[in-house]
Amino acid sequence: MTVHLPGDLAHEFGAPAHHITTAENLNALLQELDRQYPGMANWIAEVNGSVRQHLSVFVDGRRLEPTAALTTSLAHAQEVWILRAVSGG
Amino acid sequence: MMARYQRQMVLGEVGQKGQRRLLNSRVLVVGAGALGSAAATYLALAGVGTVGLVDGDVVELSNLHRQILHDSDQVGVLKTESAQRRLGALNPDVRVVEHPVFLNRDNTLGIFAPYDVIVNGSDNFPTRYLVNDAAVLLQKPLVDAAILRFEGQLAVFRPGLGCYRCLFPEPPPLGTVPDCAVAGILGAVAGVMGSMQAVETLKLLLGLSNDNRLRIYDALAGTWYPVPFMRDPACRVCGDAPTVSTLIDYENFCGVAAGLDDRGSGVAGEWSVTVDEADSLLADPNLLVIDVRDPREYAAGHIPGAVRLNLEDLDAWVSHHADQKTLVVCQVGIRSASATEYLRLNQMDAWNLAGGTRAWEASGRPLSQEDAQNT
Ligand SMILES: [Zn+2]
Repeated sequence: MTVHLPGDLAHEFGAPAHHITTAENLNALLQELDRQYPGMANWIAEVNGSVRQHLSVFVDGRRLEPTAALTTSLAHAQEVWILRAVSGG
Repeated sequence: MMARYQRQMVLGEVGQKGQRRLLNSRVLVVGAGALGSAAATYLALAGVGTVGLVDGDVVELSNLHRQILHDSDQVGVLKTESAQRRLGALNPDVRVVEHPVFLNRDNTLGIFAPYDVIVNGSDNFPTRYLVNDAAVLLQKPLVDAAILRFEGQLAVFRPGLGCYRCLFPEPPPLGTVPDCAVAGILGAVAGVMGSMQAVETLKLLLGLSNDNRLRIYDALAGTWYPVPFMRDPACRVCGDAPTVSTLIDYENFCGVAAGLDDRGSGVAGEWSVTVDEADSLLADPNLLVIDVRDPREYAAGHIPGAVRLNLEDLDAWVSHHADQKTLVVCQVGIRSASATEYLRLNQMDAWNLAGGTRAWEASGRPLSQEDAQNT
């Protein structure tokens, strides 16, 4: 599956904005990202494991409930978007 | 009158019929800023009969690198007035309606009512949620765009097919998303996004629009990514059992009424300080400044006296510096916000510099290339 990160998060960590991964759920994905880019998991999820309130995670067009997000299986996912709103105009 | 539009009427999708439809259409552009400038310009040139503009601001010099409706002679003039002059000169067929006000819960529905399509080019979250909710309540299509640094987001919300809150149900906590004044914006990126809003609006008016996607433009990579999304049945405005049936206090909803200003980027909003506020922290001789960027970034220039620390080594560092008052710094304030939050969880008196080394440098303060010792 491809995982898309918010542009400025990727920029800040020197990471590409798009990742190919086989992580089986969001938790595994965060651990994988954090190994490559220490501190990134903390930016995406709270210490208690829930996805940060200002981020929206979309898996193949459906938005995950923030509370369910970390344990949700990504086994059959094609596209995962970690989105955050921007407000500039 | 139609000769002006000959080159677009040649398009089979437009023709005489489509052109007449455009001339009879009314589009409201919220914000005569960077996005609104580009969008309104192309809508007027295309012959959209009525173009309304809402903006209570006056033109400032710092607007001119990206807001193409205005020029140096218009500094200090109301943006709606400046826009009216420009659009009127570009195409006298178009009736330009000025709304020189800031939208709020009391005036928005009335202003929106006569228009066919709403184009959102506002520059703050309270107005974004206000515009969305009003468009949903009035069942008007909304063409939304937002920009930051080299990124643009574009979405067309058609009644019944999802709204901004289906994408982002909650506004981000104050301080977690920087604005363009802190993070910067390339004018041409705003031009791309505003032009895309005009394209999508013209498609809506001509009956050529049918998809339901958010589109993300990455100007550095030069790519567009479509992000499919669906209406969220649990959405508080457009869901199956909406709880928002009238406009609310959006400043309050977005936390602005709490009296806090924008704290710059990062997750540790409440522990973030601006460069100016950091001066009082730096006056304390016991304060330690730690820089969590990589060695190469640090060597290129850091805040004088800042010591470098790898994020991976934060844990070990905490155990030796239990009572240390600390200001954490990185490039733009994201990595340092994570580190600050971690130090706070360990009961340390830690602060994050919003906007990071870049904001420090932009304020005219000096950077150092000398290596400070990590104690
Ligand atoms: Zn909705």
